[in-house]
Amino acid sequence: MVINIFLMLIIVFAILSIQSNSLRRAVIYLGILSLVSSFCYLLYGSPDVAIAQAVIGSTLSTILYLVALKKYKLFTIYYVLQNTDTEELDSDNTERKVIDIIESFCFERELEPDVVHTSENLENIEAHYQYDVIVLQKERGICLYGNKENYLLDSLQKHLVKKLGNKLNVSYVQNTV
Amino acid sequence: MNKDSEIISNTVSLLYPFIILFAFYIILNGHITPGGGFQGGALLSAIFITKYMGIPTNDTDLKNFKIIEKIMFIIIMIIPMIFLFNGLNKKFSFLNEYYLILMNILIGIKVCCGLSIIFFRFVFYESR
Amino acid sequence: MRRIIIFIIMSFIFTVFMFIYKDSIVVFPNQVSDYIKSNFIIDTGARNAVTSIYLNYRVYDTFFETLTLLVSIIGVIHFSKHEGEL
Repeated sequence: MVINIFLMLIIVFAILSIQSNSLRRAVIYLGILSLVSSFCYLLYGSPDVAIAQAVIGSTLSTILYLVALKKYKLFTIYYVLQNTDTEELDSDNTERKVIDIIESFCFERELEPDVVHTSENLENIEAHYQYDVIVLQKERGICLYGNKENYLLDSLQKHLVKKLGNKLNVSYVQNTV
Repeated sequence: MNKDSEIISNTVSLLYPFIILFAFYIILNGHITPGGGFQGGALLSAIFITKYMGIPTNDTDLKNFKIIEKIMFIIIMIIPMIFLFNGLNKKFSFLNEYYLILMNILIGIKVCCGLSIIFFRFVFYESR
Repeated sequence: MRRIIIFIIMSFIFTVFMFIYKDSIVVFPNQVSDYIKSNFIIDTGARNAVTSIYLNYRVYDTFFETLTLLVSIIGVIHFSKHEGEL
């Protein structure tokens, strides 16, 4: 009875690890899968294979995959929220749209998007944090701040203009570091 | 894996001796209880990986690891050739247990060196 | 659409396999494993049958396993970038 539950859990985690959108989540699902399968080996009466599977599959390969994902390029987006108390509904809508578009851009380029919502000042973020692009929302449009060295920003701006059309006007400021 | 994460480095430094004890237990009792050279060696290489997670500096010399691994490979090839293929295990049957312990230790050291070479090579030299 | 087609094909293959092997019980002739199970303590002096297999009965398996690890390490060192002194 117990072994059937664990065998079904293996199938569930295999499907989850294929279907999940984020790579990091898929790696964690794979780690859980190998842990459950090592428990299955234990229930079938082969503790040697269970130890090997638990050490190799669940620890070493998970850490190797996570290090590989760390080497993989991160694209950090700071989304600056200003005056959130007024016109909350409208701002929510545009924010969702813009972030969806930037994430689709990141998935095209095989980057890992990392969206941070803050309510701090622009100068503070520029001074203290490592960022790739800062999105600042204005009354009728958004403004992108980025480094001049970052070669991805041109194509990101083109992508935004193409997807958004003329609904929002996108302005674009390059800082020289 | 931030570089200045206090929690991870403290926890890892607490776990350090227990991992070493468990790995040597698995290697040395490989002929009695489940386990053996390969599993214990993988656990020994987990020690180096936890060291990387605590202190991510490149101060381990991989050259020694490579030399040790090749010497271990040659010894692993030679000892069973002398001991098993000449029929010595039938003549001196009291040596069997020591042979098993020795081979488990050698295989453990070799697997430890190999997996840590792969990990450190991957972490420090594969830059993007 | 493509996923749905693949899912239908895979479930069809699964049901066919389950239908074929529904009432077939495979019995292997367990001669070697019976011999090892009854004699490994006297032959090798180990009390764990797995250790007695991979260090005494099937030593060639251990040889080529270690050789495989060595070759894979050589491959990793060869294919990663040569930046440091190694």
